[in-house]
Amino acid sequence: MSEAINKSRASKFKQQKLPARQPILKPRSVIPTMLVLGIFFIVMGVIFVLSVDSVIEVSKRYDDKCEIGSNCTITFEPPSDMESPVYFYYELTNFYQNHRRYVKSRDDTQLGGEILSYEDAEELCDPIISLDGEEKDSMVYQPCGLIVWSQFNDTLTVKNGDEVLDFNENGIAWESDIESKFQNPDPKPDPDSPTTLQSDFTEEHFVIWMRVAALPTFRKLYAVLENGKLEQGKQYSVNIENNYPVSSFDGQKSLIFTTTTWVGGKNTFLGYAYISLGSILFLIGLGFLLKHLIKPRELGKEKYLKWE
Amino acid sequence: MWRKKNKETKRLSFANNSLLNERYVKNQVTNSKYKWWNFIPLNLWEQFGRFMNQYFLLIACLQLWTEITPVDPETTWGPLAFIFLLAALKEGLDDLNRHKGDKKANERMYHIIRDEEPMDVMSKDISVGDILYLEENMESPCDIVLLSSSNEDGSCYIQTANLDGETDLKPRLGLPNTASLGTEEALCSFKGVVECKPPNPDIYVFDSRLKMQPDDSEEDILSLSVSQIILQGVHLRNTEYVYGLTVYTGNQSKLGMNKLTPDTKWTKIDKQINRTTLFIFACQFLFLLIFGITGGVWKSKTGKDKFYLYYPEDERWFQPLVIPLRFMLLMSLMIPISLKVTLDICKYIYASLINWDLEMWDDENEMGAHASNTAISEDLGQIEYIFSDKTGTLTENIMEFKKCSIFGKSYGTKHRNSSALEDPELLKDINEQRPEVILFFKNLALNQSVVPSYPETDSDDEDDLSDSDEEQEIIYKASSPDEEALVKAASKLGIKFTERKTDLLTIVVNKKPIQYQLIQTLEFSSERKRMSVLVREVDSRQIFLFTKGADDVILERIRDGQETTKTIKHLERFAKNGLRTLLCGYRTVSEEELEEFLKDFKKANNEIENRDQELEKVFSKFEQDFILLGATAIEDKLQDEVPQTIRILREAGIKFWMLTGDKFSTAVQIAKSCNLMPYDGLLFPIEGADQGEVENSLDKISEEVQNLDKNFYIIVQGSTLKIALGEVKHKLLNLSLQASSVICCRTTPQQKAGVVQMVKELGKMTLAIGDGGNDVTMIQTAHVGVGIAGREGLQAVRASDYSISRFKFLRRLMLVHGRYSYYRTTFLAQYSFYKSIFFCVIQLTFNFWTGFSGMSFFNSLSVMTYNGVFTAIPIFFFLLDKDVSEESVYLNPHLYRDSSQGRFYNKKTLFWWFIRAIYQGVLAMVMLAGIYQGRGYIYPSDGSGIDNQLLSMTGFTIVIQIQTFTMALETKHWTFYNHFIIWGFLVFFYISTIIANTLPNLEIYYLLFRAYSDPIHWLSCVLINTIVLAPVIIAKYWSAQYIPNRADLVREREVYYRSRGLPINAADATILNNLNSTEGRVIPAYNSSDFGINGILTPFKDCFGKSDFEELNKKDPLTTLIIENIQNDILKKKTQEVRTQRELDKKKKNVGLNKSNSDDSSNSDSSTTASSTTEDEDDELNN
Repeated sequence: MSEAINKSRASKFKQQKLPARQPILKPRSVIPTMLVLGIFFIVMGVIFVLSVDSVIEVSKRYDDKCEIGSNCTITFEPPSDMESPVYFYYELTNFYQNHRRYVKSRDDTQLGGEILSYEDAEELCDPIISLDGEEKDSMVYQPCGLIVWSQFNDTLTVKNGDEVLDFNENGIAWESDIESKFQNPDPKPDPDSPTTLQSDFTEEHFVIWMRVAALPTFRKLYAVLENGKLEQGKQYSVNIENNYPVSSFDGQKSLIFTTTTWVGGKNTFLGYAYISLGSILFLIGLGFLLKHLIKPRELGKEKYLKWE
Repeated sequence: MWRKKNKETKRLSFANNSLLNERYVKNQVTNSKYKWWNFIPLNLWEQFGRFMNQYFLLIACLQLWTEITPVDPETTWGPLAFIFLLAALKEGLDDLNRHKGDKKANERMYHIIRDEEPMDVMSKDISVGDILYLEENMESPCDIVLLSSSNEDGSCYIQTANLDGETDLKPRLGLPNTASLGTEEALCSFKGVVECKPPNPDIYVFDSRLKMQPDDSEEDILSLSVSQIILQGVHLRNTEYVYGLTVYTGNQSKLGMNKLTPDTKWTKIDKQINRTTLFIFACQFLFLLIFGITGGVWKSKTGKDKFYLYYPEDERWFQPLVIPLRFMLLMSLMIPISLKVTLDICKYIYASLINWDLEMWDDENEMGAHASNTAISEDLGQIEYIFSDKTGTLTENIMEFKKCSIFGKSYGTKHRNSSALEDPELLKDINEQRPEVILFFKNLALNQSVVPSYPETDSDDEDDLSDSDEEQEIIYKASSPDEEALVKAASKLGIKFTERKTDLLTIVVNKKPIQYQLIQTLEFSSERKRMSVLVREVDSRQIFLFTKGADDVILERIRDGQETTKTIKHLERFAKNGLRTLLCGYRTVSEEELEEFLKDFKKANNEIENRDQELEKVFSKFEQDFILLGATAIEDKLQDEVPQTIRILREAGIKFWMLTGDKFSTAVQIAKSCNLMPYDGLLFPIEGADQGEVENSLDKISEEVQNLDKNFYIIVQGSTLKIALGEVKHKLLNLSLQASSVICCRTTPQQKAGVVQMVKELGKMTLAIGDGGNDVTMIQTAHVGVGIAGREGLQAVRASDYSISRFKFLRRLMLVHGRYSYYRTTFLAQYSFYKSIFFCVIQLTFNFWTGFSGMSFFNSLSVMTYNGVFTAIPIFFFLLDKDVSEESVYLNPHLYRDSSQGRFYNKKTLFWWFIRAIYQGVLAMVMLAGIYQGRGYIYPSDGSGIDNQLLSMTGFTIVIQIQTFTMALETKHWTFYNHFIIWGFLVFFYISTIIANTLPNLEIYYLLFRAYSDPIHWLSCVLINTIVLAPVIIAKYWSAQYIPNRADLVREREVYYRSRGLPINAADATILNNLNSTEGRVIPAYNSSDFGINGILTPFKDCFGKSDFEELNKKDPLTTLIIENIQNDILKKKTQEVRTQRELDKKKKNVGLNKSNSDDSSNSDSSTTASSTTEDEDDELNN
């Protein structure tokens, strides 16, 4: 054989002779893994559930208690002391922010401070494009699009008696959004112009609203109590300027006050999922173990190689 | 029939008058498909001819409509353009090669006579009416009518291998009227006109007419036939030169009209993949309807009430279509756009692996295997029937004179392997100049058509030359290797054929030259089955007629009253040993007889019609009354490892049929010696001269075998086969399929192809292997054609899909390359479907939470990178995967059935892959929606809720993890590359997303930093990965443990022994190698079965079959280990034993001791075990 050919072909790769390992699923590895994993999952699940249990959450529906366009007050009592930070959310249900028609109806460059031409707006912001549908650049909504147009516009104030609590409405949006995604155009839109739907693009409730929710039931952060606490047994009230209609789409509006723990809010789903999965794995592992103990199967025995 | 107006109705070719021939095309040959200016439109047009491309184009176009597209259009346009570019590039390169080939052919120079002037022109400028001059061994550039040749009678020989694959020489004969036009001057003034049909593809018909002068009247017209035509592509042989009148040129030649672009071969698995694609397409349509309608209903029932969606009161006409179309686009990913390209690249690599494989490298020929068709490697793994040629394929096609019997005395018969050439008896008899022995070898030396030649020697060697004059080697050029062997044998024994001059033959006997005048050669033909020469010894003026031929024809021509029994007995023994036999005879001829014969011969030879029959009559009358000289026996050595290879292939569940041109007895002998059938196998010949008889014969055999619980074999002759392939084909087929093997002897190339076609039509996967021009049609007919680059030229190789240099490499080609290719492709295809469906299922599930609005869960970047990068590239490294090792496949040829029976890709496997995709997709999405539900999920450090993009990226991260682990789970053979790619890509994913997260312009800016700092993210990764993968692992574990398939068991065995450091596989391989590398077995390999794989397995069966070992095994792990060590020792000992036994055998043979006994004893133990295993195997075959 000529040397050159020999050399060029002799690589282990070309000859399919690469050294290799062949892992197989053996009882010795599978059964212990399943048992250990099962226990681990159950433990993790329990820890999770216990942690979530320490979260105190107060939820008050208010759309059925307030007339649209009116002011009203909702009161609540924390079941126990709620240490700061206490997060204050509004919750909407049956609101498909992730509906395709809704999600797409916005223009990120406009929100980033650029002035939009009518053509661009027409392409991206349908159906909320310009005032009275006029095809002029100057008539384009600032900013355009369904999301902006359908912005949540209730105002919520938390009070203890007459004292307004120190709920901070700043610093609630993502820093990354405020810094690089949302910018006011130059000049700033005139708040009185009928084409202006939002006069300050970096207003944090607006920024939060623009981050569309993934699922039709969602909470959006409204304010944070950074210092102090909500005390058990005390009556707190929320003053609501009730503007946002939800009855037309069978939606509900609620107020949420919650504390958090290392795994967030009051959501035990993950914990129970861990526990169930752990139990199933453990049980199946146990089954495999029994099967293996009662009727073991030897590995690699010649007798199994006889067939038919 | 519809016709063009100016359609040519007849063609007129005027010699020496180019004006009248101008309307015909020049001899420009074009095989290329494109020109530079039409490449792009034509290629695009062709690519869009494919359904899938049209589909993807439609999708891509629909994506331009922003109203409906879920993701950016680039997600489809990008890959589509890439795929098109790749395909166009390949086509372009192929066509460039064709252009080069055409150019070479078109620019070859030829000598012609045009308009009364001789000139040299390029092939492409030859036109109709030119008189073409061809020299020996030149290839005709166009179709010409033979006018005259270097022979006075205007005859010549041609070889039509390029047309029909036949390598024999065919005579062509110029008309007497033109044969005299032997000089250029004469031809310059030739004004003849040939009138023939317009160009047509029929190569066997040429009905046309020749006028010697353009104005000749009807009566003077001469008729021309096929025997005057030399077609394009035909080679001129054994003739110095010819002149011919060009009639068809360029692509209008008969060859050109026959040129069909060969159909692209689709492998079986390709077809299955196409069917799956269509099925998915149908499912897609169904989902499209379901989701589209649900979406429409949701929109009109609920959507319109939602003020924030702002649906207009009245909508445009196309609005109802929008949602279904959105879902169509969303699901377009279900059919992996890159699958075709992926598979094409893989196929190319499979082919390269075949080309690179050093284990298929043949040192002797300096040649490896070569895949000329890079697209069908998987089919090598799916073969159910092999059709093999015999000579040159199973055998070496090197003939060796082995034994002879002269006047009832046999030589070289000490034992199987001894040669007459070394028989001291024979040497003694020749030394003593025994007349009958000398006459016998004179016959061999004279009665032939061999041409002796002397190698040119350098002047430096001249001194040596004079010394060793007698030793100077003569090279015999023979058309038949048998003749060569006989002449060589005679020469070795001192009856040396040294010179052939036109009619003078010289032989040297006992260093004395004797000259013979060659009066007439009575040539060999397959009908005559004999050849005779009529010679006159120049010195003694004695006339001899020497003959040699097949036993049946010679025996009926010998003088009565001769003692023939001994010779016939010897002959039979030779034949039984698988040797090719001939009988030799001679007689002296008197001057009167000679005169009479020559008179008859001349008369017959001048006959125009029935010349052949008349000649045969004259010959037959003359070839009588012979004195029987004896018999020759020539060995056609089996190629090495042929019996082992056939055995393994048959154990692999492949039916092996032999189709040969050889005669009945030789075919049967070879079949037995190469393990095709056992020595006592039940063989049924199908016989009959007409349809009725054949049918009867078939019915009779069918009846007999009906209640037979034994294997049986069928043999059929070509002539019978021809009848059987007609009306009673189904009966033949029925019977053949029941038989263990079918042997067809005396078959023509067409019959061979017919047999292959018959089986192919049943839907069985066929492979044809051969080495000669006569196998070309068969090779082209079969699904996979394998050519052996052998002594019979390269035609078979050129027509084949794969070429190998030795038959034994077929084993590796099929069992290793074929099986792995199939295994890998099935995985790649199914995995591609799976990952696409999985992705789409997530998308669809997500839409349950979006009001069925056709929203994409993943962003465009994710969609593009998922299909284009993160799942597309790592799977290529599955090309390194092996489910079991190569050695294990050899040791357990049953494993081939995994691939030949399609166990890795069928409805069941697809079902599980689809279920897996759906289960995992739905569950992953549901889990995500549960964990990140709007009520309760809070990003712990700043209290934000979940947003659409963050959920999407979290989902995508988990999807990539799932795919990584899935690939890891499916990889059975972990090399460094697999680790590197699989884990490397996960790392790459993280790095690339982190980089992307720092770019504020991207949608995903900063998203994952949030995710990674959230413990929930990591907890859900663990949860979702476990929840979707655990069932897969559990199912895999269960099936491998309790319902294992063959491959599972073998793999388990490999792992088990390897983990204990026991070299079971290595030992297997050593034994295999040792046994296989014993020197090329010769016919007859009586006990070749002990070389077979069952023979090798025997020691294992001894070791592990013992029940007491198993009992012990169960009790104590320590004992187990000890026992295993013992077993290992036994194994080593066995190996050693076998090895030493072989060596001993070899030594014994070499010493030449009289050892038929020792032969027997040494083989007795292994042959008994071998026979028992044979039975096992037979049972299995019956099942």
